[in-house]
Amino acid sequence: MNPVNAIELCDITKTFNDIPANNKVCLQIRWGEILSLLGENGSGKTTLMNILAGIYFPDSGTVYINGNEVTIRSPKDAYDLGIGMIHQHFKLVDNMTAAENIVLGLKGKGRLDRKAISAKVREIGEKYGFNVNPDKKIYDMSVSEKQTVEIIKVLYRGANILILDEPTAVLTAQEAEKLFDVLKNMRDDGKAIIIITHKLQEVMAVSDRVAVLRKGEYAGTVNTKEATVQSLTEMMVGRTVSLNIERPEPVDPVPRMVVKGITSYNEEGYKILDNVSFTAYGGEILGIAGISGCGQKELLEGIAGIYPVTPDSSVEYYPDDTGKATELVGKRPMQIRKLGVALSFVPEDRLGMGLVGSMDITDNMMLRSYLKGKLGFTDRNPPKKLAENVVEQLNVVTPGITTPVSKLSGGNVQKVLVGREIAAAPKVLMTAYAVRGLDINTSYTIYSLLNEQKKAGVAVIYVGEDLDVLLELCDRILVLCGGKVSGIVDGRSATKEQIGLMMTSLGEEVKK
Amino acid sequence: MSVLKNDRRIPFLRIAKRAEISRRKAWAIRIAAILLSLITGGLLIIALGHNPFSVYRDMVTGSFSTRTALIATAKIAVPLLGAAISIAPAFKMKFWNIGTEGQILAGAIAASYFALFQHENMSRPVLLLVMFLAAVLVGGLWALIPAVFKAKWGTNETLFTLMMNYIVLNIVTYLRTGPWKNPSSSGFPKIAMFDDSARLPNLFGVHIGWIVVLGLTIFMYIYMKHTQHGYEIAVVGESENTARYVGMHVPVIITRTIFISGAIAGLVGFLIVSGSSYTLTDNTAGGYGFTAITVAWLAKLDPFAMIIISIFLAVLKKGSNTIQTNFKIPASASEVLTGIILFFMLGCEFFINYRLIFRNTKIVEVQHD
Amino acid sequence: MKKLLSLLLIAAMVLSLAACGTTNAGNNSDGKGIAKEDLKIGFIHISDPSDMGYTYNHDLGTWAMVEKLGLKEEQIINKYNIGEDEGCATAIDELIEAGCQIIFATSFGHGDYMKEAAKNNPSIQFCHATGDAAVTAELSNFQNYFTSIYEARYLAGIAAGMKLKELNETKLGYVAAFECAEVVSGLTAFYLGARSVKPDVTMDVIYTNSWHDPIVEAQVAQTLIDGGCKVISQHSDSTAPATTAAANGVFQVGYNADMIPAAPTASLISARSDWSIYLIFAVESILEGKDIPTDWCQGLSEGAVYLSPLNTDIAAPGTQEAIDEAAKKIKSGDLHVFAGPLKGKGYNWGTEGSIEVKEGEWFEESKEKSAPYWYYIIDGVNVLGK
Repeated sequence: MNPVNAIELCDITKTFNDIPANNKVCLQIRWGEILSLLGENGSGKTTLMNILAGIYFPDSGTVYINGNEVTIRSPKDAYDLGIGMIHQHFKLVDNMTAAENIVLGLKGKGRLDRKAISAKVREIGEKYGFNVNPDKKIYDMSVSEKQTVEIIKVLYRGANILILDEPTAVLTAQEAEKLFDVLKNMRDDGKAIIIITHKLQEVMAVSDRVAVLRKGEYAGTVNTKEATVQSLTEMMVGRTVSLNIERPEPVDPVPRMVVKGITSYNEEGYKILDNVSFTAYGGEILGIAGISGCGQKELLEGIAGIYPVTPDSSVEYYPDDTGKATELVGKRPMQIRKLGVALSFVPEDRLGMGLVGSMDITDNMMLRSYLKGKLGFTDRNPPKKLAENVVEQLNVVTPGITTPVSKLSGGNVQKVLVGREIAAAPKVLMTAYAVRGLDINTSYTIYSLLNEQKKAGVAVIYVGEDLDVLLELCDRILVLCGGKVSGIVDGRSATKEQIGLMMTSLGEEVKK
Repeated sequence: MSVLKNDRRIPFLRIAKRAEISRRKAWAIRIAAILLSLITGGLLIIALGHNPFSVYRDMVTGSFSTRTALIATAKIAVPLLGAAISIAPAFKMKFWNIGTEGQILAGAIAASYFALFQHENMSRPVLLLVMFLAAVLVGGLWALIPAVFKAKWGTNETLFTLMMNYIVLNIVTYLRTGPWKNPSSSGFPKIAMFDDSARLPNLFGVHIGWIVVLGLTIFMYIYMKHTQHGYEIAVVGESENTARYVGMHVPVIITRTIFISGAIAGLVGFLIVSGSSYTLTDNTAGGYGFTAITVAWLAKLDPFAMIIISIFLAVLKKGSNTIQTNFKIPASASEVLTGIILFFMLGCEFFINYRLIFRNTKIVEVQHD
Repeated sequence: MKKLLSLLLIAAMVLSLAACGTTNAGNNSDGKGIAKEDLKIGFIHISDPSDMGYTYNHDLGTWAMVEKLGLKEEQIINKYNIGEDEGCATAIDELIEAGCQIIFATSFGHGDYMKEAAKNNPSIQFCHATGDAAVTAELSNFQNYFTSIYEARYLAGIAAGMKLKELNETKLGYVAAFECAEVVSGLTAFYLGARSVKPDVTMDVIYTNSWHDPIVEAQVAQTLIDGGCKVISQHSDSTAPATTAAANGVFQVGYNADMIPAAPTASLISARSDWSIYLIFAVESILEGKDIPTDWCQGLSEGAVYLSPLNTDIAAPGTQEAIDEAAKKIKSGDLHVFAGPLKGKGYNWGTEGSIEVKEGEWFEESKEKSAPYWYYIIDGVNVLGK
């Protein structure tokens, strides 16, 4: 009855500034399947999906929906054609309820029939296995609940084709599992689903077929059953890559930083860090695992002097092996640096905290050193040299060092940031989600940069979310749960299940 | 299956952001905008029953052709440029200081106090120096009030600085009708003219304030581009989180910068009362503080570009006075005319940042993420 | 590139300023007079003739003078909408530059700038209406002029008093610009005129603190009417009080212009000045090389002040007769506007104290200098909002 293909894209080309983001891409998505769209950063996945969602208009090429040739001029056209896209950044109104957000912008009668809307929302939820309370306000919701609202929003509008842009980036492993179940239910209901993702594990777990884009061009589609992580990576990158992360043995570990009982309250007075203690050794990578929002951000920022911690917390920094310590708590970052503490920090929010998006690479290199000029003036020569070095050594793809960093791709932004922090010759290097959103190639560059630091005797602290990576990269892993340390495990012997359990309950309970 | 209501039309008109635009093209757009504004303004002039060419000619000659006209234009351009310079660091920090008008007046009041009541106790250089210092200090302190509130409690500086304007304006009215009223003006509520010793000397017919303001322009350029303070201002403006991350003391930077901004505005107030009006009136700030926002915006906060834009706006203002006199065009109509020209100038920035794509245009689009 | 360009522009500006040098064409009028065709006359106006009030009225005088003396329109340079601030100094400079041998300014606040300009340009005549600084300035080229408008105010007050009598009401209202002598003199004369025909009248006064602000004038008029004033008058430049009176069904006495067209159901009559008398006199004087007196003030007898036609449709019966009779007496010297017995409180702008004019005596207004100097608030006049 219905044609097999929900969507057929033929020779889609889209050029930005004479650079093709999509070059004659052809792609088919069938009804009743989950298709993973795979590709490195900048390979044109998001552009292609934005064309389907009516956000961009293609330069050339044809789109067929259900066998009919169509023109998608706006998001509204896309909705009318039954295409719904769930973006990475949710577009919800915080102080409205789920139901209100779902019907927002829909044409209807003058009066809102809240009961009918709630009933329909519940019905959709039950059909596919969502848990959602239509009358809950968005600001009361967790990230995963918000995502659920976004999905119901497009289903409510009658979408048969769903596009999800990196849906699991913000979810915990358990939440991701739940999402996959829902997606499978929808697939079984005959809907066509496209998910964009970097995580090959997930691709293998959830999708029926995998389509790969490489540098704006279509690299092929394979059945998931016939693919392996290795083969998909090769399709993506275009050559053979090693997927093993190096883990040299720590050489002569000495204590560099001793954290004793860090406690911190957030703005609402809620205890966000509760008596966290650990020691970071030079020459090792200490991983920090935990469900997002368990105090990882506050812990690193607290150590760096950016986030307030209680006065009885203590962070001792040992610059050398003489045993003399410098106390960091109670000092501002500028004072800490003036004391000669070689502490580098790659924060989670790269453009919002680590760098200034509108400034060029040189000026961003100057962030740490701008006070070095004479008589209150700035000296741009050293940062300029540093910028040139970082660009060259880390292969930053940029038109030049005068390009604003916000114009660079995510991976290159991270290279600039990591490059600057490493250039400060740290004794302690803290990184938060250093590979989030980065493609495989760049991620491996970052891992090897961290390993180089480790070999040079730096105490590296690596806050991560991918347990597989944590277990491959780190010597020891500290697991946080609700702002408390639920245990520190050996990276070589621990298992994923063990850490997963510790992330959701405290160590003592695990033992029981 | 959902209904496929879809016609095969490509959208007639789309708007897309430009990534970069060549200088030449940007200037071509600006010049086109000016031409268009002149044509639109010309229609207005024809509707008023005059010849657009002679009206435009008189606008320009009325600002440049004679010595007096040049001096008068310079007298408008100098405080305008000064006010725009004072706005520059605040706006760079994304502190929307629209209280320049009030800060000018606050400085002018402080300077006027010494000019009116202390001139007998000081020699001319000392008096002028004291007036200068008082204006700078009071202008800065006046601006500091909203800055401290913003730094400490995160209040909205736009509304705060705006409201502060009306307070200081009413203080001037109070002084004019009350304690500072000129006793020898038969009760007419006017503040007395300054003693000669409280007046700035002239150079080439314009008070020496023009040198001060040009000096300030160079200072501000260097301050913003090449000093640590300027760098801090830029970082705080872009991202307070980044500023905190590298250990900048954000509240100190905010208050320091706004003090400087207000101090420069106060200095402008001193230049106006001591250099050109020789007294304090409700009109002392004369809208310079607001017009300066336009200047700063059009100049994209570049101090040197502000010079050209201030002169341009001064010509518009002086020209609008000229045509009121020469053609008996009512004040309101000539303000409409300058409004049209400004509207096109500000509006053309849209076409510099965005482009329109008509159906069948060859597409060279720009990515925005 | 941009920087270089801007620096060049500055340099060009500076150089052109310098190059202009001092090319002030000195026009001398020391006793020899000026050929009529060489004459140029400048005017500084606080608003423009579209105000239909003060500037309109003064402008009428200008063109009457032009016609009388057979001048050409190009010989007149009008600067309109010149505020009482530094803009005035610029306007004067431009008139000087344009070659004017005589410059008139019409508003009190222009005085300081006129005086400064007179000091710096001794060969040019500066004539300032309503001002009072010439007598003390000791400058031969700086004069003041005004009309005895208080005489016309008094007569207009009679029309207001007659109307109150007809309505059997007692309260007048007055929209006053500033608390200064010019205004206080006028409002007192108006009140005294009304009192001469309706002895129990009282008058409320509110200041607008502006010569010309239609919005505030309308608000103040409304306040007065709401306070029970049945006839209002004004010392302000717009017709807003007249139209406000019309909207409220009360009556109004105008100033400077015939306001009957603006408010036919409310405006009774207006007190006006005929500025052409002075302008003709002053311009003739410089054409002939004669001195212009430091202070000039003329009134009813010389035709320098007059009343616009009475609105007979709404005026009380007998008004015209009463006005005519009083006018005759003023001209003959039998009636003095500020005649005793009068008791007035002085105001606090310098000369403290009060005044008492005894029965049979009178206060000489505008004799020592042209600008009015009666600044006492007499019994029966209530200043509101003080």
